[in-house]
Amino acid sequence: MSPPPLEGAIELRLRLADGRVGAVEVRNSRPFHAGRALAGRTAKDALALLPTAFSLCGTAHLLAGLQACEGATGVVAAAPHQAARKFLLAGETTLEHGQRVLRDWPHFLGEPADLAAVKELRSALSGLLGLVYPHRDWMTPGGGRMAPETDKLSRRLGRAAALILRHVFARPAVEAIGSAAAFAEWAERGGTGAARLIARVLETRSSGYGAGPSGLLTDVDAVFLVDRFKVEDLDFISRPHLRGRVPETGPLARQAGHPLVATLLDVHGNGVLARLAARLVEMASALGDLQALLPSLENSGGAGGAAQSGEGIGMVEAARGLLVHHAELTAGRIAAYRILSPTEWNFHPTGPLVRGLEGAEAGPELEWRAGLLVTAIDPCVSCAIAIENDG
Amino acid sequence: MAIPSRIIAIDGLEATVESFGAMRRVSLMLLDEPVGLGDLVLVQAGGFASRKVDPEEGEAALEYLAQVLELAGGAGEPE
Repeated sequence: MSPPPLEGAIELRLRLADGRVGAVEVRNSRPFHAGRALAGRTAKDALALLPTAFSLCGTAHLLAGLQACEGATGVVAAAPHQAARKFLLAGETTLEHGQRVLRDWPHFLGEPADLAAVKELRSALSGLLGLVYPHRDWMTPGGGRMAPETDKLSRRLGRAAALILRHVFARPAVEAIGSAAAFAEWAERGGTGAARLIARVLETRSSGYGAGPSGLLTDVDAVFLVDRFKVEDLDFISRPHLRGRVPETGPLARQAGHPLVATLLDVHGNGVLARLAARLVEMASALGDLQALLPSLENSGGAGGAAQSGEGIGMVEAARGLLVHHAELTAGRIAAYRILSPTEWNFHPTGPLVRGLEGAEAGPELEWRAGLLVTAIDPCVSCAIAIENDG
Repeated sequence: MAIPSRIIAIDGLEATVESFGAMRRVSLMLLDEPVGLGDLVLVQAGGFASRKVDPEEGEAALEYLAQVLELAGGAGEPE
């Protein structure tokens, strides 16, 4: 087997037994030392690296890092910066979900990716950091010099909204995801690839595929996480747990209370359909947040520096789930740094993906269904699936 | 993570890029600015170059990623 790419990858091996998925093995070669390699840098130098080195969810990494370093040094970001951070995070969430829907979902219909739409969405929603912090000092704890270019941002949001309307929902989002009946009717009409995929999931009776013992990561105790970081360190970063449990993080955990998602969970369980619907719901919600937050962006200076030593934790709900950074600073430099990514919960050897696949029906649709389940849960790296027949 | 990778050949909307001695083919279709030989681009899962990187920013990220790989015990080795 060829070595995994430098950014790491996930390999999933499904061993079949008696027409079902028996054992599920996960090999995760993601770079768990990413936090440790930040040691020795100043907080600002470390924070400056995050949007580039973690570009997939670069804004979420930057915001988690800012929170952690601000907590360590006692700096409090002013209200305009807090609003800007919510805005920037909503932009990244909309973009990440949109890219998944437009680039990766068509594969499961045998259709080409809608790369022109992906490119247009990226052109609208990437680079928002530079339009809010034009002096490019966004990595300053407490906030840099904020001077939002609101006209440009407004035009960018307008383009993103029009594109999502045209390429994803084909009608106002609320009319597609407002209820289970509306969702089914929207899917049946098949006006977009997203609608056709939902219809295909329903037709192939795959809605509940991947449902398993539930557990959603909602309230996380920061004290518990810090304790585990210090005691278990890389073991916890690579295989996190909540006192032995490994709950799911991401759109399903956050949107489980939305009327459509709640109904789908009741009817079909926490399988493919509820997870795909949660992503659509969250994309529409994040786009609405962007538009609602835009008027609250205003010019603002930064906060002054404070203590040079201490420790802090940053917890951010990134597109794929809870992202945690933990920083320990001594004399202004990083003494220890840890990064816990959502993929490590969701693709944990006893996590929600594995629990959903263990015991699932095999059959000719297995490869398609397992691939769709992986896409619905959404790792931040490529994931190869190998199926090994029994006997 | 996204690895800044240097473009060493371009063939229409595809390019060959190199990073830490590893070569791969990537699509340039999602880039919204022109790129040339020697430029650094970020590559994401799926084999798409996602954005051109400022040289100084890219070199800083490469130096950091080299440390990550060293701590992990060498490029490309699973943990």
